Amino acid sequence: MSAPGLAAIAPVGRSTHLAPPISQRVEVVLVALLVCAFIFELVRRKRLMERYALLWLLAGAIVLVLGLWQGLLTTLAHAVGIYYAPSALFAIAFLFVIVMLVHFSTTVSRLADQNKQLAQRVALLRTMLEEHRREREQAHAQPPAAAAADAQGRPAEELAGGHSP
Amino acid sequence: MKRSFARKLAIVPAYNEEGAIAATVAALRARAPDFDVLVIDDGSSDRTAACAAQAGARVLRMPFNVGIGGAVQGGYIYAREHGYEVAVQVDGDGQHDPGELAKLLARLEEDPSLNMVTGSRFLAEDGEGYRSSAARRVGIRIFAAAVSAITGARVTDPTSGFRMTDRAGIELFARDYPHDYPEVEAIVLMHAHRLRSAEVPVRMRPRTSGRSAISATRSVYYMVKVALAIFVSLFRARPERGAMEAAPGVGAEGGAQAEGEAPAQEQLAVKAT
Repeated sequence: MSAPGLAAIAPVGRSTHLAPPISQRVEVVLVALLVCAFIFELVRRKRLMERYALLWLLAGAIVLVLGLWQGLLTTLAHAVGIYYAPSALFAIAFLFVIVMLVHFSTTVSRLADQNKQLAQRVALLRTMLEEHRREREQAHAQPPAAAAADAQGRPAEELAGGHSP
Repeated sequence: MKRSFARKLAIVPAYNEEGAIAATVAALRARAPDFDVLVIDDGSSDRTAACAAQAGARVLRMPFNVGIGGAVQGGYIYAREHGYEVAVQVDGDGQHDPGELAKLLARLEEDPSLNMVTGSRFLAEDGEGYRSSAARRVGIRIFAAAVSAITGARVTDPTSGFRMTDRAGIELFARDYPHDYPEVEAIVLMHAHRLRSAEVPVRMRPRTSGRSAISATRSVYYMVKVALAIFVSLFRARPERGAMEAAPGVGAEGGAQAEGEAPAQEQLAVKAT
């Protein structure tokens, strides 16, 4: 907070008519720091994975920079032809939120697909396990000769694969 | 040239169908005894799994509700891993008549170039049997027209879940099957993988218990979702051979349909023989 900070205190120059008062800027910086601290804490408690934290930390950092570097937002806004600097902020924030939501949608889709595959595998394994257990119980319960006959009467599923002519 | 299949599986998806599942399984075992019966209990909260097992079916129990697509696909994975040559989907609610399985099987056996046979409610000449409500028939007709145009074969009942596939179909569906409302998409998927399907007239019955998965309010979502899925599938790369012709410069949906229609008539002439 050197040159831009001073510029805000002494309102001179081209872009300073939109400069918010110092107290507001302090609030913005505090909020940005709080967001970063909150995200950091979530990662520390392992409730948020680093790969998803990075995007939020990036958002916090951008807000922090914009809050500290007074002229930047106005300069950026003017550069792209937006004359009301807060609009540029809204546009950037909106874009960021959209990107995040699309990112989450693809993530949810991927997780749903993996979830489905896991459910199917669990079901298949459970059925296989129950069948094996039943066969073993039958083999134990019956005299050996009967058990052997039963095993022959039931076609081995793995052997019967493939096309028949 | 005929073929015959030794190992046949009936895949019966069921969600809270304890009232009908035992009868469905019993009917399958009585009227289609050469089919093994696999009931897929899609996370039911009632006694569906127990009733099915008691009636003599093998049961695949999903740990939670994964939706009809995931449940049926579980059945196809089972069929693939246990070496089945034919798999047929039969609804657990009693809509599909197990007596018709022989008809589907005969069609699949007599034409070895076919990979899937679907039972259609709308091909039967006598016009009898259950044909869904009037509002749904409109939707079915729209999809029938779209799917016919895309696949180049006449499809009259694209929402029928009463379908029998050979080994190639089993392997495809085990690998890739739509998540929800899969019937219409599955036909397009077959076509995209260069597998052939045909329809056979069957009669269906109104369900004996339970409710349709597609309530009135969901019908709109159903239409839009399936339409989107079909449209997107037109732009997917088509595996096996001929991947290049898969992505023509189709800009709008109208263009896609117009393009699909021309080869449709050609192939129809070939298939009519």
